[in-house]
Amino acid sequence: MATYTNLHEDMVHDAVLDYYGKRLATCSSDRTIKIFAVDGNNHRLEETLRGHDGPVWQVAWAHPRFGTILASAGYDGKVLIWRDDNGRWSLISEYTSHQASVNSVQWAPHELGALLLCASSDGNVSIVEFKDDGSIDSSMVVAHPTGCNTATWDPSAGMVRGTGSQPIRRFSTGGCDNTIKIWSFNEEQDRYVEEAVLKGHTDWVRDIAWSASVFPKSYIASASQDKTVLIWTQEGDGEWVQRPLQQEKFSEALWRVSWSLSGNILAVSGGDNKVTLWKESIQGTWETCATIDS
Amino acid sequence: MNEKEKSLFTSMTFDTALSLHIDEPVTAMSISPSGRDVVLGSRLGLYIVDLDDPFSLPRWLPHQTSWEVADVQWSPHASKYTWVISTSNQKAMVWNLSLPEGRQIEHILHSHTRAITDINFHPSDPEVLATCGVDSWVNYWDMRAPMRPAGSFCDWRAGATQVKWNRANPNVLASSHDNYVHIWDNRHGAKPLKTITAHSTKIYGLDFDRLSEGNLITCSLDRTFKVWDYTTTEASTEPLQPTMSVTADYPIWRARHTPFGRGCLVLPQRGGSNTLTLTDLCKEPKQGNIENFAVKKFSGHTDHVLEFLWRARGRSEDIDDREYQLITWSKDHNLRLWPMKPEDLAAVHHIPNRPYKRKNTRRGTPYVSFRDPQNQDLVEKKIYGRTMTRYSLGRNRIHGQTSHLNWLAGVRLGKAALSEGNPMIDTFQEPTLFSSQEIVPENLGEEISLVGHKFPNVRFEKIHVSTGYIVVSLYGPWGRKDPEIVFLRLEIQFPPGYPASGKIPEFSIERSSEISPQMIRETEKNIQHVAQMYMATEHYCLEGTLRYLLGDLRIADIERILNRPKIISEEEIDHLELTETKDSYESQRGHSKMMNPYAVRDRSTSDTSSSKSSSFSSDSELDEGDRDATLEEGQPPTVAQPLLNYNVPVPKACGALWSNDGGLVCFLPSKSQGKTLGLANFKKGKFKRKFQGLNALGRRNWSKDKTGTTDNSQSDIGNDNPAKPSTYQPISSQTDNAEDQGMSDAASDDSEYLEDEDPGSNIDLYNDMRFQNYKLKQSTVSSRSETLNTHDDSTAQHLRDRRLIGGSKKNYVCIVDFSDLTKLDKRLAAEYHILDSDANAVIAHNEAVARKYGYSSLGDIWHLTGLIQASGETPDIKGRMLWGEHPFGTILVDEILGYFDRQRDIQMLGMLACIFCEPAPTRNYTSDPAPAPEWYSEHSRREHSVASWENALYDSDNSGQKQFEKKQNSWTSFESERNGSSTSPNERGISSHRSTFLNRHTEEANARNSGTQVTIQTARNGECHGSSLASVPLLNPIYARHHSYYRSQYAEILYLWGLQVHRAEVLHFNSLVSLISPGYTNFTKNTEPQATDEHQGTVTQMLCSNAYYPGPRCDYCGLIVRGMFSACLVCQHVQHAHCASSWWKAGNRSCPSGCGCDCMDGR
Repeated sequence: MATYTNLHEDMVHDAVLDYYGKRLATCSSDRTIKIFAVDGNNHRLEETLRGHDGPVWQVAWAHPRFGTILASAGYDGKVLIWRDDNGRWSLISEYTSHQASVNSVQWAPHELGALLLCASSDGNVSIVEFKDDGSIDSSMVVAHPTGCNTATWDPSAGMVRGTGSQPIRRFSTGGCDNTIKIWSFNEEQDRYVEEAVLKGHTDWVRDIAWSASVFPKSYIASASQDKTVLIWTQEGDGEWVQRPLQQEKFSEALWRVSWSLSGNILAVSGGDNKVTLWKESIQGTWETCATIDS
Repeated sequence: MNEKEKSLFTSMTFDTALSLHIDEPVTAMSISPSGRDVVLGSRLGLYIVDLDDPFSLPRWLPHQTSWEVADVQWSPHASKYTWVISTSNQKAMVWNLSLPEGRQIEHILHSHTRAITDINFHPSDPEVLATCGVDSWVNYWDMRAPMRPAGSFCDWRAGATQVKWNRANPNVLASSHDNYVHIWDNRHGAKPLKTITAHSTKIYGLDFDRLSEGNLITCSLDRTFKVWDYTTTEASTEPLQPTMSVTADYPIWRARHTPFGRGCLVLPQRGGSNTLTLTDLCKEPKQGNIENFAVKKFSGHTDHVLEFLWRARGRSEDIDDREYQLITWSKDHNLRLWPMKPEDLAAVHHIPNRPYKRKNTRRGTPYVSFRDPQNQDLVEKKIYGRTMTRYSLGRNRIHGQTSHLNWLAGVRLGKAALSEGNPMIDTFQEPTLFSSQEIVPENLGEEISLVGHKFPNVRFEKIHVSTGYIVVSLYGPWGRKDPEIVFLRLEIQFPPGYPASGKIPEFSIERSSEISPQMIRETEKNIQHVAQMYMATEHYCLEGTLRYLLGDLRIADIERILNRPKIISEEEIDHLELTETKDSYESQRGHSKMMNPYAVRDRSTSDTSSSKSSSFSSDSELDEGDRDATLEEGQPPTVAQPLLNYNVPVPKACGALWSNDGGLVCFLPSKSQGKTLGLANFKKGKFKRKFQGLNALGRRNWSKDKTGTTDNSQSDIGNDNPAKPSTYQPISSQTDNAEDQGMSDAASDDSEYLEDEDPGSNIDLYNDMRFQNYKLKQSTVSSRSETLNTHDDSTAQHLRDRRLIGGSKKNYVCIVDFSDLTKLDKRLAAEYHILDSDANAVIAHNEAVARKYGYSSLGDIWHLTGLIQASGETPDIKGRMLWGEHPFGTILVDEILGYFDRQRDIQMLGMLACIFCEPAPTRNYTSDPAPAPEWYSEHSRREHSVASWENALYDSDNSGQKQFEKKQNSWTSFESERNGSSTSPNERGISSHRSTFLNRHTEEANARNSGTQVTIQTARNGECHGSSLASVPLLNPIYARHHSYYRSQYAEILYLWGLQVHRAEVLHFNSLVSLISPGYTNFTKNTEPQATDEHQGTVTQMLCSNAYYPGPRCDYCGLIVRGMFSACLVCQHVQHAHCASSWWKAGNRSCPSGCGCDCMDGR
C-alpha cells in the first residue's frame, strides 16, 4: 500500500490514477490539480495545474490513445482540459457553458471518441465531443432541473464493439430530484433521450457507478445523501431492478461508489470518511470485505 | 397604515441613513415638493424612487436618448407637484406624472439651438421656469404658453452653464457664462443688469441667497467659491468685489446656500475625497481655505458626487421648524440619505422655530409617491412590468426577478449605509464567489435579496418589503405521489419588526390540484414550525423555510443546525474575543447567523491569519506549495458570469476509486478535519471550529477548519502524554475502541510534523500509522512515540508545524492493492499458459502457477479441468486441447463458468473461456471430397466439416507429411498437408523445430525451416485451425456471446497490464469463435504471410476482417484465386484453372465445393 500525505493545501476531492497506473492526478479545494508520478511508495510531484477559480471537484484521464489528457471540473462552473506534451502541461481547452458548479466529469469509453460528460448543479448534463479536427461539439441535456450531481457513461459501449454494431452512447445521471436517469443517444431524433428513470432514493443521488464487467447483466451502484447505496441490475433490455446494498442505513451520507475493474468489488465512501468494500456473495447478498478508515 | 396619515414624519427613512444602489447611468436628480420621491434622470429615462419604500423597485419612465440628462427638476411648487422637467439635448421635456403612462410628457420646450445645461423653476410663480444652454441663450418660459419662451436673453459669446432665479426678486435671474455672471432683469430687455467677472476660469455653479436679494454664490474650476452682493454697486460696468472668497483644494462643482442658517454646502467636481463640505458663511475673515470654514463633512461615496439636495419636513404653517436630510447622488451609483442633526444646523447659525420670512412653496403638497402609478394600476403595471423586465433581461440575462433582488441588495439602512461600498452589491456585481466576506442580512429586504440570489429557481412573484408581504413560487417534493416534484406558490406575511419581534411570519400555500389538501395543511404547519425554530434562535427564517420547501433540509437537519452553535458557543466566544477589534458593528448585527458557506470557506485562510495566527503570517516559513497557494489566493478571481451555485452538493471529502490495475485509490481527510460533518464533538482547546447556522450542517456546508489551533492546545499536543489520548472524542459511529482511535489520531497529527520536514523518510512510518484496519495498531503506537521524541526536540520546528496545521489541511491519498479481492492478479496472468503443445501440460502448469501464488482454490479448479481432459489418448497434435469424452465434461464446464461468473472472476472466466474454447466445427461446410479421415469418424458423431485448407494441394509437397508447429508463448497453429484424400493422425509428422507452421503459399517447403512466418487465414469460408478434434463443444454455445465477452474483457485487462502477448492469445480465440457466430470477430490476422523474427515472432499485423477482402478462394485447393480461374455460372464456385482441370479430369461430375451442382452439365 502506498500512502501520500499533504498533497494539497486543502481538502482533496478526487484522486485518479491514469490508464497505466503510473500517474496520479488529484484535485482539491485549494483550486489546484496536481499530477504525481507514482511508483510504489514514492511519489514525485510533476506539475501543479492552476486555472480553476474555485474548488476542483473531479478530474478524469482520457484514454491514452488521445494523448495524455486530463479533464477537470470545479465549483467555478468550468471544465478545463489539460494536456501533457512531453512533460509540459498546458491548458488546451475550456468549456464554460455551465452556469453553476460542475460536479462531475468523465470521459466516455474510448471507442466512442473523445467524449466528455459533465454534470452541473445548474441541472444540465453536457456531452462535449472533441473532434479530430480540433473542433468542439457539445450538446446539453436538462437532466435534473434542480441540480445534477453525477453522470456516468455506460462502459459496455466499449465492450460491445466486437459485435460489429455501432457503439451506443449511453449514460446515467443522478441529481437533486433523488432519481437516476438513463439516457441514450437516439439516432433518429439526433438527441439524447431518456431511457429509464430509476426512483428509489429519498435524497440527493451523489454518485453512480456503472459496472464494466458483467455482460449478461448490467450493474449500477448509486450512492445517495439518504445514506443508502442501491444496486440496480438489468438483464438484457429488461427493467431495472433495485436492491439495497445493505438493509440498514449507513451512518452518514454517501458520496462515492466505484466498481473494481472486474466488477466484483464495490468501494463505497461517504461522510464518515470510511471506505468500505463490498462483494456479492454466491447467494446474491452483499457483504463487506474490507474497510479503510482515516 | 392609512395612506392619508403618511407624511415625512412617519417616513422610516427620514431619521436614518439610507443608501440605495441604482445601477443606471443617472446624471441628474431632483426631489418632489412633498419630499417623498426622488427623480433621477438618465439617458434611458426617468426613475422615480419612493424614499418611503426604498425596497420597491423605482418606477421607470422610459425616454431613450443618446444625450446625458444635464438636469432634471421637479417643480418645487405644491400646486404643480406633478411636474418634472428634464433635458434632452436642446429640448426640455415637461413631464406631468398625473397623466397616463406613456403620455406623460405634457410639453416640450424647444427654443434652444444647442444643448440645455440648466433648468430653474421660478421660486414664486409655479408656471414660470428658466432654461439656459450651450448656445449662450437664457430663456424663460411660461407654462401657460409653452410654445415659445416668454423671454430670452443672450450672451452671444459663451455658452451658459447655469441659470438661477433670484429668490427674492421675481424679475431677476442670473446666468453664468465662462468666467462671468450676468444678472438679468426681465423688464430690462436684452442687456444684462450687471455682469460680474467672478472667476479666472469657468464657473460651474450659481446660487442666490434665499433671503437677501443681492447675495449670490459662484463656484468655479479655479477652486474657489465666492459670495457676491450685486446690489452694492449701481453701475453695471463697475467691477464688483466678492464679499467672501474661499479657496479649496479641488475645483468646485456646486456651492449652494443651505436652506437653513447661513451655510453653504460645497461639492467638489473631482478630488476632495468625494466629500461634501458644509461651510459657515458667517465666519471671519471672509477669505481663506475652505478648511477654515468647514463645519461638517459628508464622506462615504466612492466616486464623484454629482448632485445633492435637501429633504425637509416641518409641521407649522408659520414657524420654521423644519428638519432636514441631505440626499446625494454619486457616480458610484449610490443614492444616499444623510440625516442632519440639530447641532449641524446650529453650526451654520440656524435658529429653529422662527417665523418664515418667505412663503414655503412646497407646503401643502399631497404626500403621495409617484412611484406607484396612480389610477391606472392595471394598465400601467403591465407596461411597467413588461418594460422593466425586458430591460432587466437585457442587462442581467438571468431572471426578471433579479433586478428587484439586486435592488434589494442595494438598499442599506442605518449604519451600514454610511460605510463605504456595499458588500452585497459588490458580490452580485462581481460574482467572485469566494472573495466576499460572509454576508449577513440586516433587514428583510436584504434577506430576501440574499435568499433570492441563492435560489434562482425560487421565483419571487411579489415583493413588498415595506408591508412584509412576499409571494414565492417554487418546485418541491410535495406531490401526491411521493416524492413527486410539484409546483407550489407560497404567500408569506412577515410581521412588523421581523425578525426582532420574535413573531412568526404567516405562511400560506396556494391550493393546487397537485398537492393534497392534507399535505398543504401539514406542510404549512411544518414550515411554521421551521420558522419558529429559526426565530427562537434569532435567525432569519426565510432561507430555512425555503430550503425545507425545496426538500433540501428536513426538520431534523434544521434542528441539528440550530443546535450546533450552542455546542461550540464557548469557542465562538473565544473567536469573538479575538476578532472583536475587527469590526465594531459586525457584532451589532443581531441576527447574523446566515451566511454564504462558500464565502466562509474561502476566507478561512485569511480569517485564520487575521484572527488567530497573525503572528505566523510571515510567508517565509511556508514551503513552496504553501506560498504558491497564498499567492493564488490573493489574485482576484475572474469569473465572467454569475454562477447559479445554489444546489451544489457537499464536497466529497473522501472517496475511493478503483484504478485499472486493480489498486484502489483512496483519498481521505485526516481525522482532525474529517469529522466536521457532525460525527464528533471536539473538546474545547484542541480544535477551534466555528459553526454557524446552516453552515454547520447544511447541504452546502463546508467542512473546513475555520482556524488553526491555539498556542496552548498545540503545545498540549506536542507534550502530550501518550497515555492521555483523548483530545479527540469519537462518538458512536466509531466502532473502534475510543482509546485506540484517539491515540492513532494523535499519532497521525504528530507524524505530520516530521512528514513535512522529510517526506521520504517518514512515508513508511506514516503508512503504518494510517491503516489501523490493517492490523498495524501495534506499530502505530510504537512509531508514534518515536515521532514524539523527535518532535519535542525542536521548538522552532514546533512553531512551524503549528503554522502548517493551522494553515494547511491535512489529507492523504493512498493506493491499496486489493488484487486478492478483485480476483485479478497480474502475476498469474503473466505466468498462465493458454496455448501449449500439451493440454495436460497447460493445465498442470496453470495449476502450479495458481498454487504458487497461494490460490489453492484456483489450483483445484485447474486440477478439475484436467480430469475431463481426454485421457489415455496421447494427442499428438500439439497445441490442441483435446478434451476427452468425459460424461460430465460439459456440465462441469458450465458449472465452473457459472461459479466464476457469480464470483465475477474475470481472470478465470477469461482463461477458461480460452482453454475450453475448442473451435467448434462449422456446420455447413463439407467440402472434403474425400471420405472422412478415420480420426475424424472416430471422434465425431456429428457432421463436421473439415476446413478446406486441409485440402490444400501443395505443389511441391505431396509427401503426406503433417506438420504441426508450435510457436513458443503464442498461439499455435498447425498446418496439415496431405496427399490425396485420406490421412489418419498417426500418419502425421510432427515437425520438431519451433519455427512456425504455415506456409500456405510456399513455393518450397524448405522455407519453413528458415524463419518464422505467422499467418492465420481469415476464416471467410469457415476455415480454421486444425480440424475439429473436439467431439462435443465444452463451452455451451448458448453462451457464446458471454464467452467471447469474457475473453475480450480479460484481454482488455491484459492490455492494461502490458501483457500484449497474452492479450493477443486471448483475443485469438475470439476470432476463432467467429466461425461459430459470424459477426463476433474482432480482429484477425492479416491473410498475407508475414515474416517476423523468430524470437520476437509473435505479433502479426492486426487487421479487421471487414477491412480487407482478399478475393475469392478456390474451392478445390482453398487458396485465393489469382490469375486464371474457372467458374461455374450456376453455383458460382470458382477454382484455379489448374485445379479445375485436375478435378474434372479426374472424372468428377459435381462441383468440388460439394454444393451438389452439376457444374459440367451447365457448361
